[in-house]
Amino acid sequence: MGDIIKAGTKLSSAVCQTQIMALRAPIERLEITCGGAPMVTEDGEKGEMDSDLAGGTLVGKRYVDEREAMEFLCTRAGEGTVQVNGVSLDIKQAKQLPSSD
Amino acid sequence: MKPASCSAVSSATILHKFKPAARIGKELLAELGYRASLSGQSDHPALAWRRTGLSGLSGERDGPALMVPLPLATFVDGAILALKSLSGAPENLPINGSLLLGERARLMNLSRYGRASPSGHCRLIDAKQSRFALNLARDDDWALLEAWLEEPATTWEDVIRIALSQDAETLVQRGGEIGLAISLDQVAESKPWFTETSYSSVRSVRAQPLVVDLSSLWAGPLASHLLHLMGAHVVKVESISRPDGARSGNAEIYHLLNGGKQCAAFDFYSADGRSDLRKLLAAADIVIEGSRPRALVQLGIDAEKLLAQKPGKVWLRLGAYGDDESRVGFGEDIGVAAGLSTIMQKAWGAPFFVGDAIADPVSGILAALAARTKWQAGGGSLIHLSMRDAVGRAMQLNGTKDDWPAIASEWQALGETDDADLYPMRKPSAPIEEIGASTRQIMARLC
Repeated sequence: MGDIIKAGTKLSSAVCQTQIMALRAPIERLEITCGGAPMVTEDGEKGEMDSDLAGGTLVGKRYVDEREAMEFLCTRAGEGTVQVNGVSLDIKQAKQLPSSD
Repeated sequence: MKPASCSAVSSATILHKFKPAARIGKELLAELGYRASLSGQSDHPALAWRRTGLSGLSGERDGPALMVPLPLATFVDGAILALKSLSGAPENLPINGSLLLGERARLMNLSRYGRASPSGHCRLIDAKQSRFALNLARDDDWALLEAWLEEPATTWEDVIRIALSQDAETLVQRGGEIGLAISLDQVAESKPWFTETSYSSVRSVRAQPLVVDLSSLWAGPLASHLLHLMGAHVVKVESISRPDGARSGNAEIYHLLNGGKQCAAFDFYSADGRSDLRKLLAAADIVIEGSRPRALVQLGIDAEKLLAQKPGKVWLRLGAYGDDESRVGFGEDIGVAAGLSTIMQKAWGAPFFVGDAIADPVSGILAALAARTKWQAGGGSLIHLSMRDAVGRAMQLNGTKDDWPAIASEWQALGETDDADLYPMRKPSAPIEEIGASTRQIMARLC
């Protein structure tokens, strides 16, 4: 199940407003869900959220898996929890500032 | 009677008209709702630009240093004259504004690299029909390239090759969306350099403001530094897990900009840390910050609420682009967005960077002026300063009639025949503190 996701691909939640963009992903099929429902490449009709998977997403934050093998950027906030292959993603710490600009 | 404009040398040629610094300062004060007459001398913009030490930063690496045909130096001289007119001890402020533009480049011995910025982080890149600037200042930015371009890219060469067949506007739009510092190389439409929302003011203000500065790098710290030189008590706030990146940069410029500030640090990820930060912000007379709005919302900080709770407060937010607060920018790419490299292209036939992260010092000086003017007038003001439009204001474009090659060659000659010393380098005004050194003392005083 699932698809191979290319860096740059945008995915939308099927149950809330969440939208994410893949920044980095392994070349393997991934089951990416938000609020329990598979995420889709086109915005559309919204289904019902699994109330256990309603942790929410924050716009501008980067989300990674435990191994940091994949990284997603939240481009629109929502109420669902994003999971890959059944495991919730975590917020990655803010970018370190440059020493000069 | 004062002339409306002046020229430094008398000759038969018609020199580019430019406004003297005192008149610019008066205009800036008027834009901030303050009437004053100013006096003070300033050097011709071309001479001032050379004496900042920045004239070596534009041009090809192995070619001549090229003059910038814009009165940027005179503009910031005017802003500093205006600031001095508000100060009880103007002698503590720098002798002029121009030297602030060049002090970092001089301390770091920066040079010119054609289409790469003196700092090396920012490049001017050709897309299919137009050009853009991309600044990869943070190590993490490199990880975004593949998602941005939608094909593998790990080097500048990859970016340059791929961008050539793509549309610049799409690249900039998409890059901005994922948090890259990226901008189109074009003259921006003229917009006000700040917008203001008014809140309750007070009739009289205390002798000196408490300034709480959440910003980092150059623009914001320069603003609070100038307020410090005018007597303000400045608290520099940092996140324990994410200190000001400038601490690990050039030590001398850090010392110049941050000497004399008290340093507080909080754990932004803990409820106690955020609560202490809110307490400090509630007590502040002037807040300076350079965050994107959502960053503060995510910390539970509501500027509007804090302004409503304490009449007389001034909250100054520095943003790269006033009309799109979600976009990030740094000094170099913001300068390109204002149109500086486009003017260099018109003047010299090729696009070059202008100065060293020029949007930073220009915006920092204007931020200090705006914050101080508004506070002195009783405060109650939320100011959004748009760094791109601050540079646009400093460029003082007055139409499309300017003959850029003619002005450039005239000013180039003025610069080349100038044998005066560069402006003096400043000495730090006071010692610096380590991150969080005064947190306890500051919080104890608030309670």
